[in-house]
Amino acid sequence: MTRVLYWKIRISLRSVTKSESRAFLFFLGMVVSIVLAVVVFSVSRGIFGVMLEAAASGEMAGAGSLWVANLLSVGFLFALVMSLFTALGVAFSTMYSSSDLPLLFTAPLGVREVFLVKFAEIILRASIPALIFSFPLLAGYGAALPAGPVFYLQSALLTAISVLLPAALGVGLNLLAVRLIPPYRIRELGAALGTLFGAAIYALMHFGPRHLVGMSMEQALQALEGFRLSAAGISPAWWLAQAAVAASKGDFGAFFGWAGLTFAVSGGLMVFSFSLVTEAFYGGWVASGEVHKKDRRSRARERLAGPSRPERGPAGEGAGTYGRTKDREPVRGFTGGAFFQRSPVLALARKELRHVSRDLREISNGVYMLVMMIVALMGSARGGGQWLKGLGQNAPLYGSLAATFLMSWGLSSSLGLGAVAREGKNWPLLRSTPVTGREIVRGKTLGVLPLVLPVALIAGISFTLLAGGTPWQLVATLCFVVLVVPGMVSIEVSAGAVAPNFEAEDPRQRASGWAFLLGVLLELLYAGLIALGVFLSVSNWLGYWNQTLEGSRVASMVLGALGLAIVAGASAGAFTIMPDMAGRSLDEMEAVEQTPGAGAGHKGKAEW
Amino acid sequence: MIRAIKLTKTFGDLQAVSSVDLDIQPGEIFGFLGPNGAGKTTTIRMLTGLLRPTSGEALIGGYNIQTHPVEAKSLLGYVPDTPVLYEKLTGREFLDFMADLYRVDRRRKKNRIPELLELFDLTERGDDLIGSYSRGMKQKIAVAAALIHDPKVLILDEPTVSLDPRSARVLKDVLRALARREVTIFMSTHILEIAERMCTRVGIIDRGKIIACGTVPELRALSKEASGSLEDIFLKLTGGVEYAEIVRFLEEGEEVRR
Repeated sequence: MTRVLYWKIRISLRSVTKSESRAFLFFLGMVVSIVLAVVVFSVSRGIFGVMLEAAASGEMAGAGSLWVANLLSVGFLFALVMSLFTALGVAFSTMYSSSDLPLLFTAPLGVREVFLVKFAEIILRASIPALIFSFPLLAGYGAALPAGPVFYLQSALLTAISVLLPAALGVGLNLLAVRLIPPYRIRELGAALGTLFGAAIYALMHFGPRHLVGMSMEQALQALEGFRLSAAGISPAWWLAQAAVAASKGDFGAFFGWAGLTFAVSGGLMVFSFSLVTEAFYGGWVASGEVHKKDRRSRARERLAGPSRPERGPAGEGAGTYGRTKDREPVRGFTGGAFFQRSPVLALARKELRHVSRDLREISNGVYMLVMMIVALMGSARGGGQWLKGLGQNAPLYGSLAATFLMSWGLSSSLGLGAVAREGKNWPLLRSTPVTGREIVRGKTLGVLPLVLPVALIAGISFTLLAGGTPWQLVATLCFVVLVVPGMVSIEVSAGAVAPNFEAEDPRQRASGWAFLLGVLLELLYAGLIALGVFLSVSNWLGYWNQTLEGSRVASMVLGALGLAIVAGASAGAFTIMPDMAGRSLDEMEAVEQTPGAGAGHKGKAEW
Repeated sequence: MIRAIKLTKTFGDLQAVSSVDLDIQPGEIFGFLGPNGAGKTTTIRMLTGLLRPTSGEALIGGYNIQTHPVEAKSLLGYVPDTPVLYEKLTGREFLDFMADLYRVDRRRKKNRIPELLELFDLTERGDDLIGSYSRGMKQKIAVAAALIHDPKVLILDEPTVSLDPRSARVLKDVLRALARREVTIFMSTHILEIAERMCTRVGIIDRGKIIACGTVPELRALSKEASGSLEDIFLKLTGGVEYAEIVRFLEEGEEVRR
């Protein structure tokens, strides 16, 4: 086993020094890590210094050690979460989808050896957050005390334990997820979780400092105390903090008690992971999710319908085809009525709708965009509010329309720009059918529209209500959404069709930079026309209605109608002209783009 | 039904397909053979309208696939060499989708989808996502999709690869039945035994040029292999004989060393 581990480390080091650029990146990463560790150490020493001084001066006497433990616990919690996320990712790549697994299993190695080699690899990689955060945190605390050398040795031991726990938990969760979820869903689930995590971090960074600025020391400590997750008795972060406090007091019994508890739990998790990995190795990694899914379905069917019906094979045999169970649950989806049948455009729209709604990567991408837009809009609401006040009593309406437009734009861009490229390797198959480029773009637009429209309507209602709009303003916002969103989606889908990247797996890479830029420019032009139309309509019609407008009644009615005509015309133009142009571009693209080994759906094929 | 007139495709300096002429009649099963890199896939892509020829024309049912793509493609069913399909659709939904793209009548579609699923032994898995299918099952659903609109012309690129023996047999029977109903079948394959047994005519392409075209007896006469199999003829025409000689030389060398 040690030989295998030795070779794994050697291969890892070689991959770092494989090229100059990689070596430079590695060096840069090291420098950044050291700088981060020094920053954590300095901040930790400063904060603990202030707290210990306050406790010593009697200002917060009696509660000093509790607050120290609270702060250490929060720090450990952060480091544990970081290590856990690292371990989850590394466990997936090393234990589940690693390319060297078949090779290791053809060698005379047992399951235990392979598991331990992989586990060691995970610990090594998951230790980086601990080295950057946990150890400098403890060292800063030690420097503030000041503590003797034994404390630093105990800190190193605690750091090691703080890596073992999330590594074991990460492996266990990963193996559990593999058993419960089919393998082809894991990546999508990971993408969705990662997006939510990223959005949470972004929101925390955006709003956190605002709340912290101006907080007194006492308020900060009260907030810290209220953070129950780190202070709960069952939290490993709390155990590690208690061990650190015990180490600072030279209480070896308490230190080994708390550290031992954490180590024992880590060991338990490791044994649990090992029990899962044994079955997974022998059951086959790729099949494990499917096997358990099949079992669950069988059990559910038995519960619902009693004993299963006799199965009828194609030739009358009892066994199911390919060893699969019969009477599987059909995958539900949008079917459409008889009216929608037989039209290639609607068929493409239906397919697009199904495809996106069943793909967690697409959904997580859309959710990510929505979260970003909400955060950005809330962040800029204060400044925008001041600016809108100059627009008089229609300001809430203008504000909600602008916010709804931006929100819908974000989602349209996220789902629409890569819609044509979403075909990926299916593109040649689609182009072999009698469907024109224009029909493809129209079908894609109609497929994305039902995904954007409800969200835009909800956003419109929410923003209008939040802005204190009247019922009439609410109706106006809903009409605006229904009129404007189809054109907006059409622009994004059409812009993406100009330079699609059929080989991109990541939804964000499906359209080129040029297509994105074109989309932005067209949307800005569209927004300008819509703004003009809305301003004419609202200022004239609502101004007349509210009797705030001076001048001719007929003129204001005509100008209001002109505004509405501009909005409707811009939307109709975008909805009809853009797919035509993009479709022609798609039809023209074939001869130019499809070269051997580089064309759509021909990835890696140099054969001609 | 399928005509290629001086069909040529150039990629930069490389002439991938050079002046290919083909004329395939209704009811024919035409086998398209050639070594790796000979130009088979490029020719098929030009015939299906996926690639625009540098010069020449490809006609399907009399329609030029470049100038009248919708009319030509409506007559055409195509099975690509790699079954890359919509993983998030179920098999049944995929057939439904393809039927709509080919504008198949709703009533006909309703009968046709279960028929094709049954034919290719996919009824039980018809409501599962294609993403969960094996490679062979994907190949079968791709063939079923190509048949959904009763095509007049069927172009298949390596259709029997990854099919189990039962499905391969079903496919061969289906192709023969279609040919009897005057459907034109154009099939590229590396399995020469299938081509010899099934095809009414065989075309051999090498380095972008058709070097031989005709029935197996005609090719036998051309290659002067009076009793040879299609494999022998193919090797003789495409220069594979020298490899057989190398193998023989290596074997003899081994015996001498012993």
